Amino acid sequence: MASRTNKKYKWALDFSTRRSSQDIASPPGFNPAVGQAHTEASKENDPSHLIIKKSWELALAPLKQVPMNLFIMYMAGNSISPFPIMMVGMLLIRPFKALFTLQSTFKMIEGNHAIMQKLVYFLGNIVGMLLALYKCQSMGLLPSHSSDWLAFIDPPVRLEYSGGGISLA
Amino acid sequence: MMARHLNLFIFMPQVFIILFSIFTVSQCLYEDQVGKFDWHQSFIGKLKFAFGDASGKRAIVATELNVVAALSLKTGNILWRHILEKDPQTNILFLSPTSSGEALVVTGGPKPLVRAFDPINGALAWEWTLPSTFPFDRILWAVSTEKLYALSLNEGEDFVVQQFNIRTGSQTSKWKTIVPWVHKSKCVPSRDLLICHSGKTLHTIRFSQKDAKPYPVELGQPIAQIESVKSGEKAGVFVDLSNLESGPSSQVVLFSDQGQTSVKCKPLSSPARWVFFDSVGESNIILQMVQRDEKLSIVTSDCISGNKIEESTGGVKYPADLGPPHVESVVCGSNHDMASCRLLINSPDQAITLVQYSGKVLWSREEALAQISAVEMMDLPVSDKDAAIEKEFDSKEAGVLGMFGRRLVSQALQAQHLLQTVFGLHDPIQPAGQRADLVRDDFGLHKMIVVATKAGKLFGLDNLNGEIIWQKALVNVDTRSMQLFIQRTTRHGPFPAQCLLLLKDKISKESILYTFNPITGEGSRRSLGYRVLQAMPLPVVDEESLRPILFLDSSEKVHIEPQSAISLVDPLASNTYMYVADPVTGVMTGYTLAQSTSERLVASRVWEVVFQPETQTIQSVVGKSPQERVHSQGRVLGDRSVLYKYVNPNLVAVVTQGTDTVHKYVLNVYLLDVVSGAIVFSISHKRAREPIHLVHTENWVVYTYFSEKWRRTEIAAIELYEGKTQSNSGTFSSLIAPVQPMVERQSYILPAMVQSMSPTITEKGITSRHILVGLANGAVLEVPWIFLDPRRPVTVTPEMREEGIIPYMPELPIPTESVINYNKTLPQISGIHTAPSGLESTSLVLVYGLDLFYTRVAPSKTFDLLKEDFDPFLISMVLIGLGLASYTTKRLASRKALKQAWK
Repeated sequence: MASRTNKKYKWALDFSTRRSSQDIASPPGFNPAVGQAHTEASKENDPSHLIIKKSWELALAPLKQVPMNLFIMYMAGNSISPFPIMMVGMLLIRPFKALFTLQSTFKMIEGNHAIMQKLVYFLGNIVGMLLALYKCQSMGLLPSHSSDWLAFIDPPVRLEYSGGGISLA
Repeated sequence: MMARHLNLFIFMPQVFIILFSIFTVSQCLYEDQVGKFDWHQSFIGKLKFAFGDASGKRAIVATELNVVAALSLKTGNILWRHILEKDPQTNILFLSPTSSGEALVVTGGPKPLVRAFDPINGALAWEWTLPSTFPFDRILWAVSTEKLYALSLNEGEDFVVQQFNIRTGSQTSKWKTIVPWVHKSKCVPSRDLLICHSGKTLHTIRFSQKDAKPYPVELGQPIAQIESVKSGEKAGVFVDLSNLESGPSSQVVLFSDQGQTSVKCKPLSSPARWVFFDSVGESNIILQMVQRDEKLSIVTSDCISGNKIEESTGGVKYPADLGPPHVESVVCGSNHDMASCRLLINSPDQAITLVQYSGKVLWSREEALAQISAVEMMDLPVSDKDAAIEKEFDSKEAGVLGMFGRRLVSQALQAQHLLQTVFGLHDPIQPAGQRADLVRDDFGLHKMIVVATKAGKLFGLDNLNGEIIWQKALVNVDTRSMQLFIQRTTRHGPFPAQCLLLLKDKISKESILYTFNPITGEGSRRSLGYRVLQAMPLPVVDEESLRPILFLDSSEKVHIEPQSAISLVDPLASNTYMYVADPVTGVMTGYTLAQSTSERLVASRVWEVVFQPETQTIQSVVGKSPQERVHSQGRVLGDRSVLYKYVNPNLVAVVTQGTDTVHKYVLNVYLLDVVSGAIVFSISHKRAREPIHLVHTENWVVYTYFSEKWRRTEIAAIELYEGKTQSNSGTFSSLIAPVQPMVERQSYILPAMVQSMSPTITEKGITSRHILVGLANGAVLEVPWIFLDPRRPVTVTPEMREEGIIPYMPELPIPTESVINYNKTLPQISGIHTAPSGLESTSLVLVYGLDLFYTRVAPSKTFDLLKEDFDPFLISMVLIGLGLASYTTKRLASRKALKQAWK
């Protein structure tokens, strides 16, 4: 009980223990709810909460980039010139790198939502990569057409041999 | 929508970049590159007339190729050269010095002209026309004191003399003299006399005088031939006597001015060539060229007594079987010293040689090179060092230890070589008759150009400077249907390279084979004993790496060269086809060797295509080059699908020229499969006529013709495609009915006259093909295929733009930077030979005609070579410097860090 009152009236100086606390009105401007709110905040400062929050931020980061990437993609256009290529390269390399460093990133993710967060993070990167691939496709960088394999076609072997010309006689 | 606009904006500059790069792709040179990759040699052709001008410094010559030129007697170089009209009927009929020193030239043809050129600078002094009704084949020409005489001989009846003022061309007088003994082939003019022979008698008459009297001279022996004496003090003739008992002999007969008195010199055993007048002894000296074994020596003797005065001690090297040389002119110094005389000799192999009286050769010009009919470029053999390395990998049966041993030996040899070169002890030991510098280079750019000429002379030229390495004159040959084959290249180890030249005997018209080593020129001649109708190299080589060649003779029998290769044909026979096109009958016949056995080759007819000779005549039959490789099997379209090429190796293009009552000229082009005899495609151009030049490679055909309707040269392109799918990607057979190809075609205007056309060729066919067009104005134009592309659209869709096709414009540009011979005009181009080099990007080009021009082109730029200004020394120095600097700074930094730590 004492701890509770202590908590409730932090600034109360109790000169007479016999006096009931309810008897005296609070000084002007004093809001007993402040203490309450403070208690709530300190509740949120709970490390596990923070970890979960941070982890979510981390997990959602790739997905949050998607709209920005879409905008960059739109601005870059479909022509093959150095800047769009660099942009597409960035788009492609970032999720790739992220996927390769998945283990170290997952070490940072803790808490009870970890599985979910890992999954979201992974999917976010996959989405980023798909976007980059889509961009490559629309720029014509993917070997998806028969023309891309044309250089590897060997010339057909001729079955008949012929020769001759205008009569020499 | 926005994105689309954005794309277009980004794309438009690309179109310009492509267009711009097309123009710059073609080889354009910087001024300091002139002559670095190319060389140019000028010729005049076979000598017809010549005289030495008064200064004794130059000889004025006129040739069979309608060239009038002045040759420096000091060096043999051309001082000036005029190429007169090239027309089948136009030819130079007469060349003579005038009394004022100009060179007077009479040309016949549809527009006969008399021209006089200044001998020093070649400027035209005057020119006038002759009536075109002149009977030029019956006229003899003579010049005498400001007068030109035309003697038209009416055989056995009379001759008409027309006298012209040499400068104005006005006819001053004309008269007829009735004499029964005139005959064009039996008469020659000498000074003012017309000298004819009949039987054993020489008749002379002074033609420059009206009502002159003829005088006969009896020689006592039948006369075979007479030739005019152009020198000395008197008119005269060299007479070839044919005596049945003592064999042929020769005599010189000289006449007085009126022809009434004659001096008969003593008969000589070998023909006299020239007459000198010795003013001191008042005697005539006769010059002869006497052949002994392989040498010619100059002999002079007195006319009357026949005593030998002098004989040259040296002697000019001259093949024994070549035929007699002809002394065109003798130019002497001013001091009348015989020793200062120089003889201009024209030999039957079309070489012009200037020989000192003492027998020393001053210079020689090989004019046979002005008429080339076949060219091949051969790789040079590898150097000894490289040959040793190649030998190491030659025998595969040696075990691991053996190979290791050989490797050690060759490494030791290489080390020894290296040491010798470093210390300058190296003395190159080359095979006999081969020069040390004639070895293959790293990029395969150094080659031997093997040339066969119409004169029957073969040459081996160094492609880097055009120097003649070897030459060989073949005599008594008919070179009209000459074919040159490579039987073995230089890449086959111990065996030397071998070429085969197929030509015909001049008299019997039977085929002759000349087999020779293209690097040294040594070879042997062999008569086949039959007339070859067509020849075909086989696609295989025998155990000596020699490519056998099949010959189909006029009785449709098949022969093989070498004979031993008959066993090689057996497995191939059922798939081997030959065809012959006869322009006379208009029949094209296909043969198969399927019925051959392992002992005997049999050709049986399988198909026949008749081009009715009444309506059309076969002009040319153009197949694909057997060297050519097609790297890309299709063409990428704008939507990134593939249009597969129809690459039929058995396809030939047949060009026929027909006459039609309505359209006058009709040009037909047929694409014919020579295995099945099927006509794959045909096209007809109305009112189109010769000259027709056709290029047939990969899946396209390009040809030029003259459009009668618009009176301009047009160039047409046909492209064949299989379609969006390939029917059979593994093999190609003409017999398993291939799909009818899609045909794209288009024609363009080429604002120039075309004389020759040829595609560039590279080793692997990766580099894009350009077409080299030799123009009548002497330029060789490099036209990128993209300009002739039949798919060039009139209205451009974005997809087409994506594909890189430029919009259709009827007229092809002739940018000066695409002229590969820059300011070196090449007259009368008759052919362009292209050959691959060791570099994929580079194609070697020899343009021939009256001149020779060699260069190299890189249609897709030299993507496989470092730039000219790349400095490996500087770069390696910078790298080494940076490496050293980083090492020293590292040391310094570590020292500093150590010092810091102690503080």
